[in-house]
Parts: sequence; C-alpha cells; structure tokens
Amino acid sequence: MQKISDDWKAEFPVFSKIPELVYLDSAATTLVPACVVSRISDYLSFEHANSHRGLYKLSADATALVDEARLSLAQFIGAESVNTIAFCSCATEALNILAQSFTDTVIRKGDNLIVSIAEHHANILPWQALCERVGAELRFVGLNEWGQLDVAALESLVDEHTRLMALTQVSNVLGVLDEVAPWAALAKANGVKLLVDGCQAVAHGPVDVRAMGCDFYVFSGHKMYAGSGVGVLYIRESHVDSIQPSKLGGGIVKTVGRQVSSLIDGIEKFEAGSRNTAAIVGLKAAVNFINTIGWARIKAQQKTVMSCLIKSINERDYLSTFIPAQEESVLVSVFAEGVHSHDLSSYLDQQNIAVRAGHHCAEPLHAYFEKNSSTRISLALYNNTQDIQKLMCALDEAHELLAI
Amino acid sequence: MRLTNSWLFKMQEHSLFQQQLLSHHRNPVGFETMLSHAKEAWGHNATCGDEILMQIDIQDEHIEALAFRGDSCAICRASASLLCEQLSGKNKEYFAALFHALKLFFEDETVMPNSSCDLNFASKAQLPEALSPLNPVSRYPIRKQCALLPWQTLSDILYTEEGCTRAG
Repeated sequence: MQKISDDWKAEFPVFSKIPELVYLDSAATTLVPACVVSRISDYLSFEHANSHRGLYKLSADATALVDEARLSLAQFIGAESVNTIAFCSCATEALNILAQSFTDTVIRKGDNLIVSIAEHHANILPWQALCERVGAELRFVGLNEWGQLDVAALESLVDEHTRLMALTQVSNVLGVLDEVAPWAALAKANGVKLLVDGCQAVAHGPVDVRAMGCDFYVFSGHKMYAGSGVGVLYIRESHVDSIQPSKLGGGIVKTVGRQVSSLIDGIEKFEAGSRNTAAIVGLKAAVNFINTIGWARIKAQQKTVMSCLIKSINERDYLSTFIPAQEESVLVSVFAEGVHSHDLSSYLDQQNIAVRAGHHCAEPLHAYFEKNSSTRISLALYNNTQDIQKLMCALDEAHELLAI
Repeated sequence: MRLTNSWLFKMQEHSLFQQQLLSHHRNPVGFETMLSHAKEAWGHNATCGDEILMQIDIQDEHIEALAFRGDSCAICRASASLLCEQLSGKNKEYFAALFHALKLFFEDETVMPNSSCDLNFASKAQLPEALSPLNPVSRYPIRKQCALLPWQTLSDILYTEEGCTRAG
C-alpha cells in the first residue's frame, strides 16, 4: 500500500509550484496527486502499447493493466462483476453512448424519459436528441426545498410509457447527496430503467451500485483525482447482452465482412477503438489513492471544511445560496448581493482563489430558481479551513469593492 | 467606500477592476434610461450569464440617444456605459470604426487606419483614449466577451434584420 502523508495538500504537486493557490473548483475537475502523475508517466515511459491487439509481451501486459483497472473500478463502485465496467473518455461520452445505443426496442414513439431539473447538460442533451429521434417525450421532475429530487413528483410523472429515468446523485450546482433508493424502488416497481450520474459523488463517499439498484451508472475520472481522458460506464450485467453499442470500430468484432459484421459479447463491446490506457491506469492509481486514505477520513475532513464554509456564509448578510447549505454537501453555490458572479470570480482569481462562475452547465436549474448565474465553491480533500478563511476575506473585499 | 492600502495595491494597473472602469460600473451612462422611439435587442453571454438590452434612437444615420438595461457583470456594464457616453450624437460610421477598433484590440491584431473618422491610431493593441477604461480587460481573455457584448448587440440592431424590435 502506498504511503500518503497526513498533509493531503502536499500530495498534489501544483501546490509546490503555486503555494498561494486556493483551489475551490473541484466540481469542474479535481487536481491530480503525484502518485497518479507518476503512474501515468511510468506507463507512458515503459509500458505503453496497444492493449487487446498484439501478441507480444508489451501488448499483453498493457491488456493485463486494463483488466486490473476494470477489476479495481468494479470493486470501487460495488459492481457485481468486471463484465459491467466499460471505459470511455468521460461521463459525457458514456451518456451519449447509452443514449445512441437505445434502439427502437428500448424507446419508441410515444414513450417518455424522465430527468431532473438539476441535471448537468450532459445528462439532458443526449436524451433530448434521443426523444427527437424516436418521437418520445422528455419529462422533468423538480426538487424539494432541500434541493433533493421531489420523489412524489417523480412518482406522478411515471406511467406505463416511461422507459428510463436519468438522474444525478449529486447536483453540480446544489451539492446535495441525494437518496437513490426511492428512485430505484419506483423504477423497479414500474419496469423502468434507472441511470444515475455519479460524477459529483465518486470523490466524496463510497458508491455501491448494487445496493443503489441502478441499471446504469456513469462518472468521469477527472472528478476523482485521475486527470482527464477516462470515464466509466457501468451497465448492470443482465443488460449487457441486450444493448448493442453505438460506437463501432476496431477491437469489438468477431468477424467483419464487406456488408455484415458480428460483434463480441460482453462489456468490452462498448470500447471500440484504442483505449486511453494511460488514463485507465491513472484512474486505477486514483482509486488506490482514495482507498489508502480511506473514506472515513475523507468524509470527516469534508464535514469539517464544509461546516466552516457554511458558518462563514451564514455570518454574512450579503451572501445567499440556492438552498439551505448542509454539512453533508460537497459544494455550495452562492450569490453576493450587488455583485455579478463573473466579477466575483475574477476578483477572487486575482487573489489566487479559483471558483466557478456562470450556470455551470446547468441552465435549466438556474432558470428553475430564476437566476442567471451563480458562484460555485466546491471542495476536495486538499482543501482546509485556511482555504475557507482566505476565500471569505476575498469575498468581503470583492463585495466592498464591486457591490452596486 | 473606504479604501485600505491593500485594496489600493490590488487596484494597480495589473488589476482588472481599476478606478475608471469601476466608475462606469457604479454610475453607468444610459442605464435604465427610458427611450420612447428606439430600436432594441437583447444580447446574451451564455458562458457567464450576462444579459443586456441595448436601445438606440437613430434618425437618418445620426445617433440621437442610447440606453441599456439588464443583469450583467461590471465589465459589460462599464463597456455599455462607455458606448452610450461616446456614441451619443455620433453616426453609424463612427460606431462601426470604434467597434472595429475594440474588436481588433481584443484580437491583438494590427489596426490599420482605414476610416474617414478621426480615430487616428495605427499601432497594435491600442484602444482609442475614450475607451481606455477597458484596457485592463485585454489581460483577462475570458472577460473580453463581456466587454464586447454591448457593442455586438448594438451592431446586431444596426446591421442585421434579426432580433431587432422597436421599443415603446
């Protein structure tokens, strides 16, 4: 097991180069620890080959690395077998692969799909396109006062033509960890498939897709300290054979003729083309990093920093939030009275504080709350209460300088 | 507003929020001014959520009055304020030349003197003095679209058939 210091910030090289950096945009992308960087570097330097292709040792070893990563990720999210884990470039690709793979046998004209008003655009646009393609209806379910999905409203939207619910486990704007079990129960009772977007969940607590009861689960590696280039599409094993992949090409074929080809069985049929093996081994290294620290310590740290943030926000009359902030949240989006979110973000940037301003790829959610934009503060394991103190000092200055 | 030494330091020339720009942000020219005979159009910046309604009262190429309203950032407001301040009483050709200069400044290309209007500048990355409060924005590429939004919206009113309605 690798050794990780108690100062988690020290594990991330960027803070050596920019010690004054206060990085509060982990919901956009997390920073990358040295152990992941070095694993990717070692792979590219000494182990790189095209996996699942060559018969020589270097390629066979690369294949083994992918297989090991697949097992690691299956264990990480509590999947029933490795035959459920497909690697892709990111969650957006995973969602598009699924949406385009749903043929007329799955979704037909007159059917409906349900998403929440809190979805990221990546979990809206592919379904909009699918509905337009087949003549189905896209329905939106709202939220309760705590920013969680309104389960009663969800129940009222489900009917005999509902085929899929595609719902986020944690909103990238509201940051609340939602309860998936009620959705899964409703889906199962009505013969509806459930897709869960886990992008904002995987870095903040354990995931168990079997306990969750979902049919599909997607997330991106760069949301959990792995860097860019890899995502995971979990497909419940009982569905793998019945869904035909939309992304086609080399590596997924049994035979190819001039007019007709046959595809391989199993989850790897969703991985056409050459894999980003460097990113895949990096993702496994990120899983090891998280497992070495342990969820208990990560969640305790998160609660401490989030509590500090919430207390600081509540002490300031000029700051408000979409919903009452909670200690279990992984991020908070705020409004500063009289200051546009873009100006707030720019002023903070000049103090080496990184936050996100705008609608965060969640325009329908902002419209739902009748807001144009917000400033998002998102946490990760390299943040501490000193970061929050610097943030609040800069927010106070920005408000004093810019408020109208 | 009481300015401490730290804030004054932060407002030095490398800062985005300099005094001239803040002045236009806090007291914008033409903001929520009512124009009864004006063409108008909305401009949106999808990335940051800026929304601005530009209005222009133009008679035979002569700009009688300008106004704007909306929920927009300090850069967008200040830019709109400068636009209203500089273009009142001018003509379409003057607007076109000023807008062209602004776009080239942000695109960092060489500006060629090509207008009959008296905007005599020929070197790279120089703004006319009248728009100098926007100088710091060039150091923050992500904010350029905020500064350009009011001008692009007005250009859409003057030079396109779409999205232009008559106020009042």
